[in-house]
Amino acid sequence: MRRLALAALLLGAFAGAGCRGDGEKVADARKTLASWESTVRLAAAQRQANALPKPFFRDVLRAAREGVEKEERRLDRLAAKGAEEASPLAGQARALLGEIDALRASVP
Amino acid sequence: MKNLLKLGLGLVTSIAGFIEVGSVSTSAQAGAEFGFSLLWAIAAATLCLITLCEMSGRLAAVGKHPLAAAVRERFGFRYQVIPLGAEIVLDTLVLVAELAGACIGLQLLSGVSYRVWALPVAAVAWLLLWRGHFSVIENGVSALGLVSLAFVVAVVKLHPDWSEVARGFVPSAPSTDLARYGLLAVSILGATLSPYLLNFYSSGAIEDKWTAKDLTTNRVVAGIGMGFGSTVSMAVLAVSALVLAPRGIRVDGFQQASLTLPAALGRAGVPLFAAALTVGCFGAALEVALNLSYVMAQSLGWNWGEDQRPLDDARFCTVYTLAVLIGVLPVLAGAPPLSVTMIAMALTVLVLPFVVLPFLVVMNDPRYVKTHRNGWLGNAVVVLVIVGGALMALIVIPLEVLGGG
Repeated sequence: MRRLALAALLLGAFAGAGCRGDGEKVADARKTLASWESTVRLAAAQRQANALPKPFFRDVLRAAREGVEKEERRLDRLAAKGAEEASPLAGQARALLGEIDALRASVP
Repeated sequence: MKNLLKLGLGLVTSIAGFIEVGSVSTSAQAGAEFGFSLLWAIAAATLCLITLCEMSGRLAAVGKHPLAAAVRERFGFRYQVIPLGAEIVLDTLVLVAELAGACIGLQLLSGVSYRVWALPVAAVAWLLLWRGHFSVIENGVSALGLVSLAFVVAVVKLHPDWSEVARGFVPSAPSTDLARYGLLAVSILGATLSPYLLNFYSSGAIEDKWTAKDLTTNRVVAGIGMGFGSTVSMAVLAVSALVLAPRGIRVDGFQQASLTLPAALGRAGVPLFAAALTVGCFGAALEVALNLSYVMAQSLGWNWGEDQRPLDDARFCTVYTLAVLIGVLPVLAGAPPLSVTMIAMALTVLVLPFVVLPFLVVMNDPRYVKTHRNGWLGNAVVVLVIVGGALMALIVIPLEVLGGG
């Protein structure tokens, strides 16, 4: 019985870890945005060093755009729900989208 | 010479078993988020896989039974329905993920969407299964799969701190994100211990006409083959730890994972990554489709064998034909490969006990393996896999369902 209770407790703890609040969702979005920003910078540096083929570089930028847009939408929803830090972060996402678009324009 | 050729069986299962969409995505994610600290998970999973594959080969060589046929004979068809149903669902999902992975590799090479590649890839896979012999699939994929050694070369060229790498083989709790760390450890185990590999391995040993004289070869094949695969898998984790982790890049897509090789290999990096992904996933897709045919035929008592004419085992051929046809549909529809992989991995963990538990009973039954029964160590490893698998299922599924993954 005690073992069963311990198993249920462990399961509950893991399930609790899975059910995240808005603050954690914003923190996660921040990490994801930072990750895409670093991805774009690394890809641009590798492209400049002639280490990335052009079609692949374009593909990275497309994937980055999709990823950042997804986070932007998520942050807008969180901001509408009243999450304080979501709004400035959504602004950062839009700035990053502009940067990505500029890079895409530079690769015909 | 004949024994050397048999090493190919181990190589093909290791390449398709390790370097496929599941292992590339889980190893790359683990390296990017936790550095070298999850290397132990790959090592532990490899040890279990070597043991289980050795048992599968022994069952085929001594008992002349593939796994599914032995379980059906020992436990009856009523029980066999459970692992059969589970494997049909699981293998179909894995097939979708592998076909998608092969197409993603081609997208990385060409810049053309993976959905466009879906039909050509499925057509080539079906043609190879229809026209090719088992040895063609085995040796062809083995030779092409050597491209994945590029990851090992990249690690050496990136000059890691080897003492830090060595510390990754000792399990340790991270300071943050324990749940995520656990999920990735479980994902690695789930991606490595695919039940389809076990039946494919024993069926392949029967196709290759192994006998009791091949038991030593079987041990070497399982050890070297799986060892080769795990070294490459560890290298994927390591390059990710060296290139992505210091920059805070997480692997949310294959484009990020493929930035690892250019850091070490320059312009050859992306083509090599794409080729390794395409070949590994394509090889695994062939194996999974074939395994579906093997499991169905052996469970239902049909003729089976990749080396027979399609006319002689029509139902066997129909199964892999339908599998490829069904498997390609979600790829055409644009199913996200990483999500499909994660679902397949979670299901793998659930299915594992149903496949492995009866396997243990068979491997201790002298009617099947005569005097070559499992030793205590082999039994202990299998029990560990079953208990580990059940615990994995309890941990992974709530995390996946509730959004932790």
